[in-house]
Amino acid sequence: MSRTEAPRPEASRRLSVSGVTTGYDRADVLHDVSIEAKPGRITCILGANGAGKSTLIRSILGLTPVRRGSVAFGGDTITNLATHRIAALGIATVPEGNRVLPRMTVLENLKVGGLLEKDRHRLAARMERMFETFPRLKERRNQLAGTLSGGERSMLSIARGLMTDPELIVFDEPSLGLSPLFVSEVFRIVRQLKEEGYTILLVEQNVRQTLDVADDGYVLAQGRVVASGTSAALAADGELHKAYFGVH
Amino acid sequence: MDPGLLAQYLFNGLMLGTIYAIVAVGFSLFFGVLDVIKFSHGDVVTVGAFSAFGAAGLMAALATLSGPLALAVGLIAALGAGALSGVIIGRLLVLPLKNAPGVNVLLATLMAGTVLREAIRLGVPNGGNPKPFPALLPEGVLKAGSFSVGIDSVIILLAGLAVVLATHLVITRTRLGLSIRAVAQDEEVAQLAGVSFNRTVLGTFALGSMLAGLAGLMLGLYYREINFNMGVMLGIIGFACAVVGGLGSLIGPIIGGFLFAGVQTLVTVVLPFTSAYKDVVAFAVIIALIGLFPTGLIAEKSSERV
Ligand SMILES: Nc1ncnc2c1ncn2[C@@H]1O[C@H](COP(=O)(O)OP(=O)(O)OP(=O)(O)O)[C@@H](O)[C@H]1O
Ligand SMILES: [Mg+2]
Repeated sequence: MSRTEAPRPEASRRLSVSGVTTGYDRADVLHDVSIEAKPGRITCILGANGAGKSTLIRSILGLTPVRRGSVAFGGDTITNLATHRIAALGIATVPEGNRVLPRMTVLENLKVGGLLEKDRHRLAARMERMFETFPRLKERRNQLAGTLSGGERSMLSIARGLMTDPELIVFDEPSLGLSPLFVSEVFRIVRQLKEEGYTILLVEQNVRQTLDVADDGYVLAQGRVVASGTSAALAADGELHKAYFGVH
Repeated sequence: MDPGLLAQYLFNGLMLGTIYAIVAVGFSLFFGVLDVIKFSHGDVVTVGAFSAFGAAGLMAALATLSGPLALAVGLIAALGAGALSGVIIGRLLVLPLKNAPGVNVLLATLMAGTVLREAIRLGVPNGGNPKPFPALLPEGVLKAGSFSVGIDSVIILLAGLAVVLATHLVITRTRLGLSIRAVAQDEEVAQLAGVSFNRTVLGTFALGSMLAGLAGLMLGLYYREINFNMGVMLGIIGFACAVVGGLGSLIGPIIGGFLFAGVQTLVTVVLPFTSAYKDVVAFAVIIALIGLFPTGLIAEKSSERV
């Protein structure tokens, strides 16, 4: 990715989830979960379907209320803060399923990402940068987002997040449903974003590629953290792979 | 039929279509952002009419105002009162019921509409009777053959069409419009991008209800008479126009509005002896269209949706 604007200053804020318990209706889905995403690093969360990964992401972002425990970003406690305020603090999200605003054009989707920015020039520069980074989106700028291919949609979802000028980017299974080529492209982008100074929290099921790109990791099973450490350590743990990733 | 009379009917149909469209757009916007039917919408039209009536009357009593100034005061009162009642209803009734079934919102706002209506009937001196609305627009008549139309009516029609266009621009070109459409399409994605859900919903209610207030003023100026229950039928018609055009769409309710007025006009022109039944026929047509196009004339997937 090439950039025309000055690179963003180094990320400095840490995301800390401490003892979070939450769920839907009566049942708790997460039990006393604590994780950290350190500035400038890629932290991954691995786990099988239904482990509670998306629920964790949703409670960080104020979409699913935290029942016990707390979430902090830098010096701010963001537990159960309104979602748009959390976003305004510098946390962008690429939600599960690479959701886009389907009846808006690509350009309008990006403009929604830019709604927090009041300075027209900075906005225009950022938009230009997105089109440099994702030429496909530039070609399709006037196409309705709902008619994009899965891969294009994931690009748009990432670009929309970047338009908010975040410090931390949260990805919820960005590679889900993409062709192998696009999966590699997504991982390439994640790595690139880290090099540009963003902090990244990456939820994935794609164990090998994820541990390859990540610095730190957590393994979630049935709503609890069952393993954590550097991704190198997690990758080397044969028992862990047997128990949770179905690798023999 | 006499061409002058025909033109008269057409003009009247165009005027009604514009007013219906303005009311229907509100229903559609509210449904777009929140999937709710705000049934007090028709009575907000009445609030707008009576606010303009009261403000213009008060100013006239305090000082001799020139026509344009009295009109400006009436306009501000209609828009302001409309927006205010929309925001209050949104804040107190609609947002708190966000996670409740939609029928609860419908019921709550239906009752709120009754409260507004009764407040006007009982609160305005002699409020149960029709009120003569002051002529705030320039007098004079335009003539073409046997067709004649008041300059005031022409102004109302042009202003109404301009407002429909302006609303379209607000929705498609402004930050508020972008937020409204984002929330309507995926409220979580919108919030993750930093859009405040509550502010956007209240903005939508302010915008839609302002339009209703304006429709009230237009009706007062056009018919020179207002009534505490003038909004009831208009609310039902506006709702019907929005549904038949496509709830949640922007163009749909506008088409619906002109369609409804068109049918009314057609009945009056073609079957003058049955013109008392024009609403019956128009509603029957709406019912038939809803049967034929269950999701509205503007289809669900179309880009025309808000
Ligand atoms: N809206 C909801 N209401 C009730 N239960 C839910 C809801 N969303 C998720 N759950 C339940 O919470 C548990 C965790 O779900 P979650 O979506 O967080 O898992 P996940 O790790 O993201 O899975 P996946 O990899 O399939 O996305 C599951 O048992 C799921 O059924
Ligand atoms: Mg998930």
